[in-house]
Amino acid sequence: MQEKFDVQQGTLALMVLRTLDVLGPVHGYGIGRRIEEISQHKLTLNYGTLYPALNRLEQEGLITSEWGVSENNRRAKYYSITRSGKKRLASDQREWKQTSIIMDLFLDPALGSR
Amino acid sequence: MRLIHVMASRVRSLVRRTQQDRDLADELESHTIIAADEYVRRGMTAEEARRLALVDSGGIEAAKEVIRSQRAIPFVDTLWRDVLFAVRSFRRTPGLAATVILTLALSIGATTAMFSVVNGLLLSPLPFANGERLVWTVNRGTRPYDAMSPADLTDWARMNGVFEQVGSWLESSTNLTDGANATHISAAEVTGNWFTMLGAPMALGRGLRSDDEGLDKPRVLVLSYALWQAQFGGDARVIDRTVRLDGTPYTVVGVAQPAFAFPASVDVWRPVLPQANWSAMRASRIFHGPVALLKAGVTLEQARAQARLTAAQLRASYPSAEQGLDYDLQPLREHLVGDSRRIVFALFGAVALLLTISCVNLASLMLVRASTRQGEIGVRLALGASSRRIVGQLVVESLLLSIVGAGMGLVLARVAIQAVVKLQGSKLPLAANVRLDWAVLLFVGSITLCASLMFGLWPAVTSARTNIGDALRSGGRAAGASRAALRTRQVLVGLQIVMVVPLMVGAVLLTRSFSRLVSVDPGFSAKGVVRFDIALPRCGGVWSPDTTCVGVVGSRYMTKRSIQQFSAELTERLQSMPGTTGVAIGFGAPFTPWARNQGAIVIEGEPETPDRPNVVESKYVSPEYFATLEVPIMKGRSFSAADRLEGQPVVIVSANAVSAYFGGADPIGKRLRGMGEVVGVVGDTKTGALAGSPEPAVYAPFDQWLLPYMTVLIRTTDDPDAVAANARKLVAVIDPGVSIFHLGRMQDGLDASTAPARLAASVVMAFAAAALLLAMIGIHGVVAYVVRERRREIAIRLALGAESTRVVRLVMNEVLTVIGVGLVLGVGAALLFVRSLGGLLYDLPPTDPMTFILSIATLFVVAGLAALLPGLRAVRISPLLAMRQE
Repeated sequence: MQEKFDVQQGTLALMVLRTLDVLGPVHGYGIGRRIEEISQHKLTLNYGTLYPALNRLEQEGLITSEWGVSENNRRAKYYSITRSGKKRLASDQREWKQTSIIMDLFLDPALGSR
Repeated sequence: MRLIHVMASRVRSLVRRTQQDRDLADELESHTIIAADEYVRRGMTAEEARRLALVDSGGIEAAKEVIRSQRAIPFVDTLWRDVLFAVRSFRRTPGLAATVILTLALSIGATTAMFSVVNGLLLSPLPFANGERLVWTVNRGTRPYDAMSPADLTDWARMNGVFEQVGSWLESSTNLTDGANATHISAAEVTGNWFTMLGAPMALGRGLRSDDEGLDKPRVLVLSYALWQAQFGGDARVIDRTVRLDGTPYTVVGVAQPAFAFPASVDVWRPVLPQANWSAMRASRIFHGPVALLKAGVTLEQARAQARLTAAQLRASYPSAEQGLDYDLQPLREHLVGDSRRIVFALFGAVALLLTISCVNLASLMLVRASTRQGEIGVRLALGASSRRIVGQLVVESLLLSIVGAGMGLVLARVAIQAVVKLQGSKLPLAANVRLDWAVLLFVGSITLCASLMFGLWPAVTSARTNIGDALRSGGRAAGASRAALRTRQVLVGLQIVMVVPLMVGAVLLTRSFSRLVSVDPGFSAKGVVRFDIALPRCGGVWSPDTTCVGVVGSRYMTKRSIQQFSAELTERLQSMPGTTGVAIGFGAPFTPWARNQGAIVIEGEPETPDRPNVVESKYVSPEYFATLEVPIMKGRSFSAADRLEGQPVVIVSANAVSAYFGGADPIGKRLRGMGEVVGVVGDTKTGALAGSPEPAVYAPFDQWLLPYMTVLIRTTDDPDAVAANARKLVAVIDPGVSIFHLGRMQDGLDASTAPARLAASVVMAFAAAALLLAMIGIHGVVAYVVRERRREIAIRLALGAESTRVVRLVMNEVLTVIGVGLVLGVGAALLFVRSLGGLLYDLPPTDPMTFILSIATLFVVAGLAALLPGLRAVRISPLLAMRQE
């Protein structure tokens, strides 16, 4: 098995959880669009990236899904975050903030001259 | 936690695969539609919108593939694929698959059946709740024929601190009477605690209880499962019904489970009737096989020491009554299993050898298959399959065959077990314990796994080592690997021969031993003799010290006179049957159910020697007995019609009794205490076993003792079955209340006594034949392989004028050494195997040189023939054809 998004997966999972936490139940297309918009279209998610991530989160019990009807009257599968998903989101958020602070410090151009 | 979630969801996916696949396809389609809607909203045509949406998707099938792999359990997934692949490939070669499956079904079936026997007899718990704490009492003193008396039993229960309970039984013969019809049944009179002490499992109602014992208590009984089925049609309303045993009414209180057959072959259990002075009866040795329940925590050794001590105390307190009695204990299981243990182990060893040989044979079969598939495997290796995957796939193939074979084997084993239990069930106390239980299933599972690894792994590993280049170059027939493949097959053939030798030697040993056994002269002639037993109804078969029949209904056979009338009339009527050349009454006649009837011999006027054994077989016979069975009179006279109740008591002794107890002196005229004056000496006869020496015997005239039991012997020139039917009618005419039983030919008893030896010999012989056949196939295969591989070389040699004998020798050489080495190592294996046969052989040492020579010679000739046949084919190779084919 081969997963193109391996490097990204941790971050993508966090983005999905955050999206569902903020927006409530959203279908796959909606999640993709939201992440692309927030990232100011620096990220594009094709099916091969988005759906495996959703599937894995669902297998881990962090999100659940249910078929529903979209605003345009289309059948779609809606994802929502579970309680353990919220817990995970909280801890991952903390970790990522820490990591990004540390990485910022390391990558600060001033560091080399000190 | 997270991992558990993921695994659980993957396991769910296993069963919901198609539904999940459809769900995923729907979801991705809905995504595409919504995305397309968005493009339409921006002003595109529907077609263009959909196209763009699909471009954005980045490939729907790719996404599906990734998710499917996330959902799959890799191991199960490959396994499933391997199984499908294996099924497909076996469809292409159904002959091979069928051969493997049948071989396994037979060998696993046989092994399973034998293991069930081992398990039922030796491993699984006894079918009594208290099984492991029960001990059996054996009299190892110089008076082994003496059972325990009621007083002994009371003392045993009272005197020592190791037994929780002591119980016993005495056997009785009685008739189940229903109106005028009588059916003989065998009953056990048991102490009231029998069922509770053993923890007997009940099918219906209750077992007997201690408070059922007593003269003032209502008469109750427990039916055996078999009798319940046969006489009462398995009707549950039998409880509380009244049945009559020789006229005495009994209330049925319970039905025992089929597994509870103790004592063996018993139809009903009833409480013993304690006589008035019961606990003072010290000399009435009526109780067989006392059983004791050890207190919790008491070891067998402690109990044995206590038992010897108790016996010694009783001997000291009652010197005359307890002389020569010494009791030892053995676990009840040991008593129940008895001699079967040896035969069971030997057969299990033989069947295990057969299974191994089958596996080796299958291994070489799979090797051939692997070599024909070398092209395929080479291609797969070249395309990047790991050798682990190839091995895995080949092992899955063999596992699949094994599972199917084992399944069929289980069915065969079940059929075999049911047949044996049905035939022998009533005679073996633990037969009902032999069944397919969890232990057996576990065993089958593990031998199946072992077998498939044995015959699958080796060929698999060999093929996975295939040199890709060679495999592809030779177009499927690996030229480079042929030498190694030949080696492997030679080793396999050698292994087979090593294991065939012990089976062959064992089979020949057992067969020779059996033929020696059946040609032993039992001391009488059974030819043309029909026999049956009669138990005249008296006190309902209940033991009673006199003829008062306390507690039960008496009968017309209470007096000796009435018995004499019956026996006289019976003899007379039987004599007038057409074809009859002799009729005799002989209670204790050899190889009949009542043959063994041990008693003491004491010569009057000689000092008593309590430390010396004085056992004889007592027989009560009519004057015609010796002529009817053709037992020779060696000295003195036979009994005559004058030796009746009113006459002087007389006896006849056997020749070996003279040498054992009279010091070889002339016994005529001497008197035996309690028996009478010796008037004759007759030839020795064996009592119940052809092996061993004949037991010394004392004969007394039936007419002077007039026991209510008699064995009737009819020498006839007529068809035995017709005689038997006639005899039954005649007895019914004399008294319809008397039934005859144990009806059969005298020869039946002899056959039954050698049945275990016959069974062992024929089973091991069948195993050996099967193993030999497999080995021959193996040898044949190797030589044929050599001929095929070296066809070109052979053709050239023949074309250049080589002698055909030289060519044959050339190809046979490849296998003759293997056969030789195999035979030598096999002799070693055989020497180990025959040790387990030691106790089963009659008049033949396990290492009998003649047997070894015979077996080895047979094997060598057969193996040589198996090699010669394909070898001869080599000479017929046409040089021209062979060269053209290359």
